[in-house]
Parts: sequence; C-alpha cells; structure tokens
Amino acid sequence: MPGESILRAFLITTMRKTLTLIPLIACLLFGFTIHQEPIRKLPVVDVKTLDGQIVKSNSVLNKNGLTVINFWATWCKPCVLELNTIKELYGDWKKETNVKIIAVSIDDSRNISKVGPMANGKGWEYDILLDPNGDFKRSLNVNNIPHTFLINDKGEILWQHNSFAPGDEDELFEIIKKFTPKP
Amino acid sequence: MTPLSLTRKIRFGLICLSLLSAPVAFAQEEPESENESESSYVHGDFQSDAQYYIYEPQIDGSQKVKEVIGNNTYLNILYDRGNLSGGLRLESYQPPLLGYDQRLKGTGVPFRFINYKWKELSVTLGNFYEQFGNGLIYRSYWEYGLGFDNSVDGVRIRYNLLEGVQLKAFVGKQRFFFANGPGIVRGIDADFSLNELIPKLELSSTKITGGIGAVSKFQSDDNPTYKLPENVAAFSGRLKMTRNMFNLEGEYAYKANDPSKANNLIYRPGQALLLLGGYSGKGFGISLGAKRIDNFDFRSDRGADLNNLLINYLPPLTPQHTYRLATLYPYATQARGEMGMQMDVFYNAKEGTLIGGDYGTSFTFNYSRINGLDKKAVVGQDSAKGYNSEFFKVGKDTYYQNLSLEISKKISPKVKAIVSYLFIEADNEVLRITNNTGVKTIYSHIGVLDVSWKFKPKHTLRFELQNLYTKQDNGSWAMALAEYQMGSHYFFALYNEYNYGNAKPSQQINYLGVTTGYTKGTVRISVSGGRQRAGVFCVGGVCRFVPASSGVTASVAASF
Repeated sequence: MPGESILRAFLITTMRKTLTLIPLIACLLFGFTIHQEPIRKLPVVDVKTLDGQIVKSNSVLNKNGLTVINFWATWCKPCVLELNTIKELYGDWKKETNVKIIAVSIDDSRNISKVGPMANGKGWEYDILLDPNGDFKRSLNVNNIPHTFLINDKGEILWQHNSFAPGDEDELFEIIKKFTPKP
Repeated sequence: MTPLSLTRKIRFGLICLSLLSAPVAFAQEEPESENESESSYVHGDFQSDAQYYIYEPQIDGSQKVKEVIGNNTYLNILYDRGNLSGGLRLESYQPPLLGYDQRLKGTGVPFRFINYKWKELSVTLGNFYEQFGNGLIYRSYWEYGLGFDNSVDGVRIRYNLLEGVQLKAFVGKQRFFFANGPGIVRGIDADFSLNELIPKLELSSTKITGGIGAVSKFQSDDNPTYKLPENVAAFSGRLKMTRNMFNLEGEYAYKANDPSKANNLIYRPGQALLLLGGYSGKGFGISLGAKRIDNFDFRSDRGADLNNLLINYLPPLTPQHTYRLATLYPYATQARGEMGMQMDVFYNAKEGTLIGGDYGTSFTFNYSRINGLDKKAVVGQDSAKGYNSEFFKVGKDTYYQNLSLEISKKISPKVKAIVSYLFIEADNEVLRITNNTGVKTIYSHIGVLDVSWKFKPKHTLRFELQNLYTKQDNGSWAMALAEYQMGSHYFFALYNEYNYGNAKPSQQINYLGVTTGYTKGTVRISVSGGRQRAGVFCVGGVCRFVPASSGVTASVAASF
C-alpha cells in the first residue's frame, strides 16, 4: 500500500533524525555540565570614602588576598555587634590570612556624618566606605543588613551571608581560611 | 553508510567540539581580560511578608481586616552582561499589610530599567534611584519596609567629565503606587573633588569636595481660583572639607515659591541649610550637626500628601532608636519649618583602665533639639506669602528633644551588657504621633538593660528589660524580651509589652508575642505570633504608622 510505505519512510527518517540528534543532545548536556556557571564579579559602582571622594567599588579590593565586604549602618544593632566582635580578632586574621575588611555603611544623610566618629570611637580599624543612596547595596541585592561578602583578588564573589549571630565570626574565619591560597 | 550521513556525522562532531571548547576558551580568556568580562549574570532578591489578622475589639485602634490575610511581596531580577545591565521588580500587595497605604493594592511591575555604560558615560532608561548631595533638592530611593518608592521613570545620565568631576542629569516622572505621578521632574548636578582636579593638591592631607545642582518640576495649573507656578526650580550648593581628624560640611538649598497642599498654598520661597562637622581620633569621636528648614516641602504633585511624590529628602537631625520602647515617640522632619542641632559623642575606654575594666567599655551620647521657626504672619495684600522669618532666630516652640546615654560593656568573655537611659520630649501638636486627642507635649524617660550570655559556642541567650515612664498619652510601658540564638541558623524570642500606666484600666493591655526564625546563607525565614502595639515605624527619615494588630506573621527573604 502506498500509504504504508509513506508511513514507513516517515518513521525511518524521523528515527534517523532522532538518532543523529542524540549525540547532539548528549554533547550539549555534557557541554553544559562541564561549562561551569561563571562566578559573579563584584559590580563596579560609585561609592564614597569618608573624606567625600567618589571611588569605584572594585578599586578598593585587596590585591594580595581576600576582601570581606560588610554592609552595616550606625542604627543597626546586630551590625555594630558583628563589627565590634570582629574588631578584637581582626589583627590575628590579618596576620594569618592577609584578609582586608571593608565596612560599607548604608547610612543616608541623616546619620552619614556619624559614621566616621562612630567607627573611630569604637576603635574599628576597617576601611570604611559610604553608600548613602544604596547604589552598591542594590547592585549586590542586599535586602537586609548585616550582609557579608567574601571576594577574591580577581573580584569574584566567593561567599555571602545575611544576618549575624554570636559565633558567626568563627564561621566567617573558617571560610576565609578555606579560600586563602596556601603558600 | 552513505557519504551524506558521514558528512552529517562530521558536522555534528564539529558542532559538538565547538560546544565543548567554547566554555574552555572562555575560561582561558578570563584572566587576560582585566576589564569587564563578557559573562552574563542573573541575580536578584526577594521578600514576602504575610499576616493573618485576628480582630480583637478590646484593643483601642485595632482594625478589622475583611480579607483576613494581608501580603506584601517583591522580587527584583537583575541581569548584567559586560557594560549592559537591566532589571525589573515585581511587587504584589493583595491586600497590603496594615499600616501601608491601601492604594498599593495590586500586582505589577512598578520598576524596570536598562543601563549601558560606555567608557565614562552611563545611561539609564526606565526607573532609577539617584541623589544630589545630601538630598536637600533631590533624592529618589526605595524602602520596602515602609512601602516607600519615589523612583523616577525616565532617563538618567552620569558622565565623568574629568578626573574629579562627575556630572549627572535626569528627566522623568515619579512612581505613584502602580503608576506615575502627574508632574515632570528634571535635574542636573555636578560633583567635584579639588584634590583630583588640581595636581598640586593630590597629596595634601586637606581634602575638598563639593557640588552644585538644580532640580525643577513641571505640573500644569488647573486651579480655577489661583494662578499657580507651573515650573518650580530649586538649587543647591555644597562643600566638604576634611583634614586629618576633622571634617566640616555644609549645604544650602533654595526653592522658588511653590504653593501646595503641604504648605497651605503659600507663595513664599523655601530655604534649607545643613551644617555638619566632626572630630574623631582613636577611641573618641564627636559629630555635630545643625540645620534650618524653611518651607521646603518639594513634591512633583502639589496636591500630594503623606510620603507621596517627594522629590527631596530632608534628613532629621535626631537619633534613630532601635530599642522598642524608644521608638514610641519618633521625630520626622517638619518641612514647613524647623531649626535644630545635634551632638553625638562616641568614646571607648580601653581595657585595663579604671573605666574600661578588663575588656573595655564603650559610651555613646546624644543630645538633639529641634525647635520651630520664629514666624510672623504676613497680613494684608501680601498675605499669600504666608509669613516672614528671621534666618538665625530660633522659634520658641520646642518640637523635639532627645538626651541619651548608652554604656556597653563586656563583663566576661561570655557576658555582655548594655545599659541605656533616654529622655525624649515630643510636641504631639506638631508631630501628631499618637491617635489620642488632646495630647500636647509628651515627656518620657526610658531605661533599657540588655544582657547577652554566650553560654556555649554559637549559643547565646539575650534578655532585654525596658521601661518607659510618662504621664502623657497612654502612660507608662514596660517591656521584657528573651531571645535564644541556637547555632547560627535558628532563633527563638518571646516578648511582652505592657501598658501598665494607661489611664483606662481596660487598655492596660499585655502585648505578648513569640517569634522564631531560620537563617542560612542569604535566606531568612521567620514566623511570629501574638499582639503588636500601635506605633510609628521609621527607616531613615520617613515613618509610617502601624496600627495595633493581633495574629500570625510569616516572612521569607532571600538574595541570590
């Protein structure tokens, strides 16, 4: 029957096509699995220093090690607790891993003039940056503070964490040590 | 095998190879390209808060929610590839939670943008957030917790003209719930850094920065009785100087006459002056501020009220309290007119000293005071000008006063304590904080004790005791809170606020609540149940009133 042969021919071509598609699908899948998701880099955004200069967010990174970027505000109790807790450990952390901590204040013009006196008054030795209208905060999708990022010397975001509970500082240091290149 | 199928196989093999090698080639290229990598990223953040309301008529001011459940949700999705970025935010309020403007009801995409950076030029189309100087003439920002968003929908350009000079310009309409307001806003601004501009000053320890800006709005005049200005311009100039441990900063802004609902349709021009200064050395810091605001409410719709369609931001010079009872009487800037000053002192007594003890003691002190302007009403022909006011003369009405001292001390490696005293005076006739009628000035004294005890690694118990003493408004309050932080993921808290001083015995209510939460990485989930007292919830300088309620709340927040 002519109808039957048409159907057979159709089935054969379809099968052939499907068969030849299999390696394509396979190599696509394989290709995707070995194609690792690129690690997101720190976005380049304008931030301010305490003396009012505008700098690019990626220009302040530690060139010889990891950078911790911590978003905080003068009115945020857990943020101040976190930065106060790490204050006592920062010297040892620097010695052991050469890590640099940057505390980015999201205070707006209501409290921005208190940031420097407060940081100094509490004896913090972090680099302080200002993000008064939240440009940096939004580019990193920070919705609640404190929010901490760990960045390598290439600017890649290795790890992030939201909120602070006493004891989290030990976990942060474990992560820093894990990502610090062994000499 | 036909030759055709062989060529096919080869072709597929080639495709396969190229697919495999593409990511490898990418990986090899990456370290070489120092600038923008061409990889694309999708990232975002999300939060959803839902509340199930139980109506308790015995609590004054509690409301019946006919939908029973309220929900606020947003999802931000952003995309970056090299110099290109774009994004959108979906929001849903079905219906909004109590305390949010009910006009938010609905679901939509009130925020979307696309941005391209080309060398020193950055162009944004769609919605954007921007600020000139301290925000006195222009600031658009987003505060989810307040339901506040005055983003401008239009075009924004930023251009780095020279090393040390940045220009910004924009035009557009402001977001108004799920639509845009009627007025057009446009502005231009220049920021400069003298140290970068003048090579001689590059290494100077004195750093000077400054800027000038102008913003204007247009709204057609459809008022049959008054001739209203359709274009209203505002200008500002600012200068900041820092040298070693000192800093000094000032911004002055002027606005042409702008009769509006917010200023009772007066034709007086507006002025704003903000002065900030400070000194800080190791273990000691002092910050000083002063300001004068005169008829400076600036909106893109002259009929707008509450927190809607604000073009500028007038920072309140008062502290932002976090202890629950200290938030009962907050301050919000009075754009019609105010004069204020503030002083903050931070001091850290080192360990091993008499005051410092074994682990050091830290002190925070604040004094702030805001008065009205000295106003004299204009009578006769020029009465539309409203009033006259001497620039440096402080009005005799005190709107707000805050005196607070906080001492924070580590007692042992495991125990930390914070003791705090606050005196807050608030003029309710001006600030309208409470719903109770006939309340004039409220004087309150607040004491807080906050002790945390890390009894084993990653396990902390924290207790808070607070008392607010006042003879006005609802009388005195007490609060107690116990919180258990279990590991770095879980927390439980139990709290009670008790209005023991209320003059009406039926309103001497206990607001008992419990809350628990889980945090991992950037995901946070929390559930709480119980009663919530009425109060004003503030972030930054903007506040919203949250009525008393009872029920169960669940929240999820994540960023990725």
